[in-house]
Amino acid sequence: MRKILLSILTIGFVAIVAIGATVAYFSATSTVLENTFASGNVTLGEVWNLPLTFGNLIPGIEQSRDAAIKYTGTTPADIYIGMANQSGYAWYDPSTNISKMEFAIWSAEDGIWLVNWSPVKNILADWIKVASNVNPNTWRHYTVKVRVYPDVGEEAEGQTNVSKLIIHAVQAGAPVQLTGAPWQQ
Amino acid sequence: MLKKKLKKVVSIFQWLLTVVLVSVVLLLIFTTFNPIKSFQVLRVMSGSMEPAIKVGSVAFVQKVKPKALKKGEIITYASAEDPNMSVTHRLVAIEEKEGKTVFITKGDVNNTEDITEVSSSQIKGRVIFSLPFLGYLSVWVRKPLGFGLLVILPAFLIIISEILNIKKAIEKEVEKKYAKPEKQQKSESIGSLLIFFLLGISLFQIKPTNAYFSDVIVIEGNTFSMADVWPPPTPTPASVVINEVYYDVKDDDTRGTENKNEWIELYNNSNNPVNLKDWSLVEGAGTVKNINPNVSIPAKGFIVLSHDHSTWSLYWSLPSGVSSINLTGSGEWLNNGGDKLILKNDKEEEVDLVAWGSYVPGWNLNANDGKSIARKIKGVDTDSPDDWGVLDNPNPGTNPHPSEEYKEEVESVSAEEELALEEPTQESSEVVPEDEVVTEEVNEPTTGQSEEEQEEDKGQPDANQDAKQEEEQTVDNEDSSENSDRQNQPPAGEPPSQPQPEEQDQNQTFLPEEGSEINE
Repeated sequence: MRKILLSILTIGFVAIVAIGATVAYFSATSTVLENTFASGNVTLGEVWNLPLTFGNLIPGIEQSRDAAIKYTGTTPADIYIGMANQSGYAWYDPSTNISKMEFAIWSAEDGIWLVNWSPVKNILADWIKVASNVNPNTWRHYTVKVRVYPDVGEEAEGQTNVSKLIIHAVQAGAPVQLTGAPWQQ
Repeated sequence: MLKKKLKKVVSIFQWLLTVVLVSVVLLLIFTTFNPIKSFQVLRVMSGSMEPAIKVGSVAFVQKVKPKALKKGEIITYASAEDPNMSVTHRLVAIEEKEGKTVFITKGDVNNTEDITEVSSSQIKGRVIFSLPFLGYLSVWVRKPLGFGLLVILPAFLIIISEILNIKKAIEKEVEKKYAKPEKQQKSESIGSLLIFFLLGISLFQIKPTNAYFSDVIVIEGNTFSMADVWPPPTPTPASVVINEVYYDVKDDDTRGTENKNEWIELYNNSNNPVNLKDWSLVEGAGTVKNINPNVSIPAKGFIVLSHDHSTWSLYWSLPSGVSSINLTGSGEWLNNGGDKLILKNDKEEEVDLVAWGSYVPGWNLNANDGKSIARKIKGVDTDSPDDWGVLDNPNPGTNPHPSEEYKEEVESVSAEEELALEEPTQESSEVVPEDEVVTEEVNEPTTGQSEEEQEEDKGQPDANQDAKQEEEQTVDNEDSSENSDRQNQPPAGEPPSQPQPEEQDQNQTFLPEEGSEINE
């Protein structure tokens, strides 16, 4: 009698666990990242036409420059950019939240404006994703436009700003939240 | 003798294998199902922690308080982007920022530290050890074949076996006989199956952690320099202007009601159609009326806007070719006592402004009870109240008929424009005196000076402005081309240029230059 009871309990336990696991199996919404192993590396290689140089800026009149980044890692990656003020005249004042310049970024490979005239604050205060799932040994080409706001005060006349551009490549799909100001780097 | 020794070795090997397997299963079961979550098992999906933790390993993470962590330890923390995902990297620094402890992490093979800092609340624990390859098995169990072989099949066999046991036990109960050796054999068989089943379940429960790869480069010295001397600002004329506003609907119901039948006339002063989609009109109190339809105002043409299409079908007639836009609103909008109206383009830039009733200082126009305010000369915009007058008989969709009060002023303005033309037409200079032409234009704008001649007159300022804009653009282009010439020296044999945006400088190409400096 005890043997029968033990067998019934075993059947019950196994059945419940197996059914639970099966339900979990079919309801799982696992991502590629959860089930795909990644080995290799993520590295940024050459850049072209960087650093950017904009001279003789006049309020209201745009200027554009081309630049390119080569991704040389061996596993696909997402690329982000941010800027941080190095020295000179500040185009964005965090204390007043006023931007004195706007910018736009065109991606040649995607054929779209990644940023279409946005206050310069947005590249100084946060990261901008400029490429997704970039394959190894790929050039990414961009056109960067800048335009000083027409109402910028005369105190900007003759001023120069020097900034650093931070380019960040992360393994494609990695659970990385790139928020916050790149100037902290 | 040799056979006996061989049997003994095989037996020891079997025992060792069983002990290892059972230990792993027990470890997995303990860490996977332990209620206090003091340990966690995670499969490592990427290899930035190699060789310390190989990709495909299973990492055993001990839950610890963030304060107990030390620099150099491998830690696991919840992703700020997705709390269900975790990251396993090495702790390289612990810093205090704004009264809070933040943890700086880095993958061992990554060139740089992780760009995001980790807060105390994200910490899950430290990695105490890892077992290689089990992660691959964990992913395999999550696939149909693995799940079938390590979970479903053992469960099925166990249940069948136990059902047979029950059947036999019942038979023996009836016969009052129990066979002990058979019982032992059965339980061993179920034990092996149970080990496989629990192994499968434990592996299935293991969650992923990401030892992601990353890299950062910093390009220093990007310069943005303003010109030393700015050119004097040159006002750019708005191509589309507010040309007439009927804000006080006549009280006798012949022209509709204030709620629905106020209207605004726009005029396109340029030589090209202008799409008005997403343009807007903003009234003094801040009420915004968006122009939603994808409609264009023709070159040198009109378009009229109102709250309700009944304005045009019942109360006013529009010349052929003039479109109307329904602003889809209700209730009184424009204030009869005094108000202002701002026209904004799709970039929300202010394009034109008109005000009345002294709502804005200097704008003292009053067109009450069925009158309208209108530009004295269509499209002429000097951003001054002097451009405007009051129409006793509003006239949507056409050149306004100036009222008597400012007829003389219009005459003088138009005469000056005529004189400014260097090469007047033979017809106008010989057949009709200038003053007469102007008078005709004012009194009978649709039958006097031909519409084409009027367009020619109004087109002159545009041409001048175009020249100015071209001059400005030339300055910009010269600067850009100078820069481009300096920067664009692609090495031979590089791939052809990439697609360019529409406004791209044509002399720039997307050709990478070798040897560009990278500051890391």
